[in-house]
Amino acid sequence: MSILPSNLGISGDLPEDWRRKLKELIKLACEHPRNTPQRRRVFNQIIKIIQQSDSLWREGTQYYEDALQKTWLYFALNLCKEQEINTADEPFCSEDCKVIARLNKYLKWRLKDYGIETSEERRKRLYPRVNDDGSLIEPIDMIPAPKSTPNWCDELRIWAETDISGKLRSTCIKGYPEVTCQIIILRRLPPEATWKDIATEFGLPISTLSSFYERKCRPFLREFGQSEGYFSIDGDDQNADR
Amino acid sequence: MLIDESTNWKIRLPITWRMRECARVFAEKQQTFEKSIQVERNTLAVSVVNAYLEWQGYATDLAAGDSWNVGTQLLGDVADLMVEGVGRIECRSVLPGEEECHLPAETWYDRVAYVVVQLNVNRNEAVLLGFSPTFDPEDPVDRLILKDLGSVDELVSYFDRIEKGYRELEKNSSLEFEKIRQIWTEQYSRLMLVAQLERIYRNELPSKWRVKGEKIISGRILESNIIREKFNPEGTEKTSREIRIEFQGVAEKLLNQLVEAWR
Repeated sequence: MSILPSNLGISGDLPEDWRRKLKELIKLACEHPRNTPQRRRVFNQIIKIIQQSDSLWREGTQYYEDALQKTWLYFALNLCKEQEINTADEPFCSEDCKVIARLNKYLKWRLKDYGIETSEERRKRLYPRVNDDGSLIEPIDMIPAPKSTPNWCDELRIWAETDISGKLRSTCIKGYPEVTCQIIILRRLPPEATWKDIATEFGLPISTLSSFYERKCRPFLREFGQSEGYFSIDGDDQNADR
Repeated sequence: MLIDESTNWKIRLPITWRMRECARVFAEKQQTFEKSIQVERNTLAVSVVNAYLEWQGYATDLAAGDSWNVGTQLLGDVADLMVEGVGRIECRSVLPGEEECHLPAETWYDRVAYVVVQLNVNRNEAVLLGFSPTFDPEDPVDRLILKDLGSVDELVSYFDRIEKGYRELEKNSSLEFEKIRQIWTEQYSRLMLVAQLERIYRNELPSKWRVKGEKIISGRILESNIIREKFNPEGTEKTSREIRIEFQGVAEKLLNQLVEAWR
């Protein structure tokens, strides 16, 4: 279901006073080089004006926010004439640019892209495809079976307890061979002991413990996390289905 | 409809399907419901702040943060994000109606700034409420009052001061800066150092700069004495008092030169 932007005239753009204000600000922004605080502060103003005007296309579809995010980024990259970053032919600062109309046009194109992607996925799921030998690939085969994987907490506990490399056991606080990374990590796993509990247990100040954890144990935890794969906000995951 | 040019209007950030997916993947494999919610909110907060910084042309490194690593996110309530040339920031979230933002102890150190967003999950939208610069590590803050947060324009100015201070620290050829570069070798600790010195410049009388600055650059607070061992290699016979006075001199000169970059 779509909601019509409330503030647009028949031109598909803002009323005259808003347009003038926006033009002024864009011109002002482009007087300062990219990535300067002056440009960035004016860009904050520009974002606020556009959002206040409530004039960007809105709809309640699954990828709407993804398309909107791309639109803002497109706007930021093409605000001023800067060949090294521009992705559009004409920057938004050009004389006759209808800013909102153009943003909405871009936004709707991106929504269309997502629409095509979604219907493509649906088509693949609904319509059977044929194998090389002529047999049908049933749609049901294409849905991965849910894997029953343990939660990360259990995985991490197993990893810390087995400690294959022996590094967790052998890294300890100077003069306290019993206070190792292995002990600290296991104690801090949920249901976690507080730093105060651990400090009392070993007769050490909290600051010593937490700085030991930060500097010596954290890198091991990061290694564990990296082995679990990286999740990208842009969609190029590794092992995201684990 | 009138244009409201006051600073009251807050920037809205879309919560994309992709962000929701990342949050779901991270949250799904947690052991408890509470931990799932915590991880989901932290992931969304980091994602939307990252998106805003992207609009503004900052380079970030999501994967380098503890919030994006399943090992480190499991052992702490963290929502950190590495910003190139600025440092490690913490992105905290609140829900509509809340007036304060809690800061867990694991976020008290090593953060140059705290950015707070309000998550309106039903609308797939976050509101960028504002930020707070780093605080005195000797006097940590466990909650931020939302109405006292700095604006996005102030955030831009603050990040700019850190960027300028860092550039000064990297290129200044004086003996004091050289000494600092020798003992603070890692990029993100240097940025933290600059943020702390900026705090002293902003909050303290110049007569206090020596004493306050010494605690920071000697690593006495931030790194609990590790740095100091490097500064005083075995074999030299300086008392701790002598070393402290030497560091005070360095701190004063450092601040006086940084002030030039910040004016």
